[in-house]
Amino acid sequence: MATIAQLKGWDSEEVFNVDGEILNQFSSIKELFGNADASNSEPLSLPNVSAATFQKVIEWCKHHKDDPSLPPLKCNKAISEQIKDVSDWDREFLHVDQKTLCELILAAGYLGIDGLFRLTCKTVADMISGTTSDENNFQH
Amino acid sequence: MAREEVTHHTAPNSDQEDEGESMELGAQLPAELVVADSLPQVPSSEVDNSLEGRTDIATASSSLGATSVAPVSTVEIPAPCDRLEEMLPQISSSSAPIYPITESLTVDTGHQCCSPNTRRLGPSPISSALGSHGRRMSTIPLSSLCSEHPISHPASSQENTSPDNTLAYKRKSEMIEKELSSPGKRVRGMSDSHLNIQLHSSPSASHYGHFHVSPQTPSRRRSSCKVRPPRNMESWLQTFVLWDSTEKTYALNQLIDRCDTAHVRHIMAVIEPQFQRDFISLLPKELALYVLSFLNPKDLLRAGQTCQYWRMLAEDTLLWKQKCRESGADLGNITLSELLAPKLAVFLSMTL
Repeated sequence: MATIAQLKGWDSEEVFNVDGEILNQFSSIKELFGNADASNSEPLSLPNVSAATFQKVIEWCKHHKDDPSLPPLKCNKAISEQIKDVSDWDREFLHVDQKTLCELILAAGYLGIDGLFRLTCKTVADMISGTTSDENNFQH
Repeated sequence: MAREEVTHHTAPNSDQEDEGESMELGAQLPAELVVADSLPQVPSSEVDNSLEGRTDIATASSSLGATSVAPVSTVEIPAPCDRLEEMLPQISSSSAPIYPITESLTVDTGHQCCSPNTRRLGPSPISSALGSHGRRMSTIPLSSLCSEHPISHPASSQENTSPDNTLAYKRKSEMIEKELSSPGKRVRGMSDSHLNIQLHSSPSASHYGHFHVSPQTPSRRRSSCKVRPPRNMESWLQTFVLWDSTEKTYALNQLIDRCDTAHVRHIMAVIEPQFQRDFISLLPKELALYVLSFLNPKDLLRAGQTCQYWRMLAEDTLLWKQKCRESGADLGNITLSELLAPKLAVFLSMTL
């Protein structure tokens, strides 16, 4: 598919060409581009996403581009129940250090990638759950 | 000279705080203004004042042993002050969010008073001295250091007699100082909680700012150390690279054994931010709450015991409303009071 957006992280000049399928998953910024061909315009710098993180985000989006859109969360059921199945690929994908994970949450929240956002938040929550407050102290 | 005056103004005041809460705000506000008046308001001297206070704290914390490592490593110097960076290369090499100096000071006091050494010395002189620094910093216009911080604005602290922000901040710092000066109330991880209070009070933009800063840190660290590499270092490093994993581990252990405290502290400051991340405090509040909403009530209660900032988040009303809804569906006929019983028990055990 044709490139319709050129994006780059805040910390490097490396430009990522993003096609429509992936851009559609960035619910917070996809409206910026519409359907226009932006391949010749100035690349847009994402203020809250570093290049390395954005690379990871695109990797995730490519893998999940065919996923059906997520159902809205029901309020009367535990969220952790509703997002239960984490695929092996995702588990491997999130096998990263805490700094990267933290940046992924921020990036997913900023770009509005719902699936990645839920996944990363759930990962962190799993890290917290089952630990005692003393163990949590260690994470400071 | 100016600092001497400040200490005299504020030290008796911090004694008064222990006597009664009713006079806390009344006595506090005029004293603050006196302090602010007695200090020079020349813009060029502002940075110098802050530098002076900064080095005091740094030397104080370094003389207090390894327990004060953690707060030092969480201090980040805002971009404009290059001079500070030169004076305190060790502190400037850490990667932590950009927060005004006043906030890092309270963190320092927390840790020092928690350490057993200082407790033997007696907490009140140290905490009041550091506290007076902290308060002084909060009244001195540090606009060049923390321009976005509402409290440190010279105009707001002098012209308006009681702006809401200033008052709230004072109340908070009062509370912290009071906690510090009463040894009985000391709790584990108090310094963390102080840090987190301050994290909360800082503008949310700096949460994002943190992630802008951290990747640059290594290069900044390297550029700030102007020492030429020792002659044989390259071959030494080459030898190290050629070893296998267990040999490297062993060599590192031996190396650390031969390091003195300052170097170990430096290593810790470099390594710590890589591995230990307090997600909840680093993320913006709404994202942190979303993460917490994944926890079940039991874990949520446990998380609330970690530190004050976590507790504040974990006791969010909407979060518990959601948890009640979830549990109502899952558990069927459980009543609200039964659900909240463990929470109440925790609350009572903390207050009694």
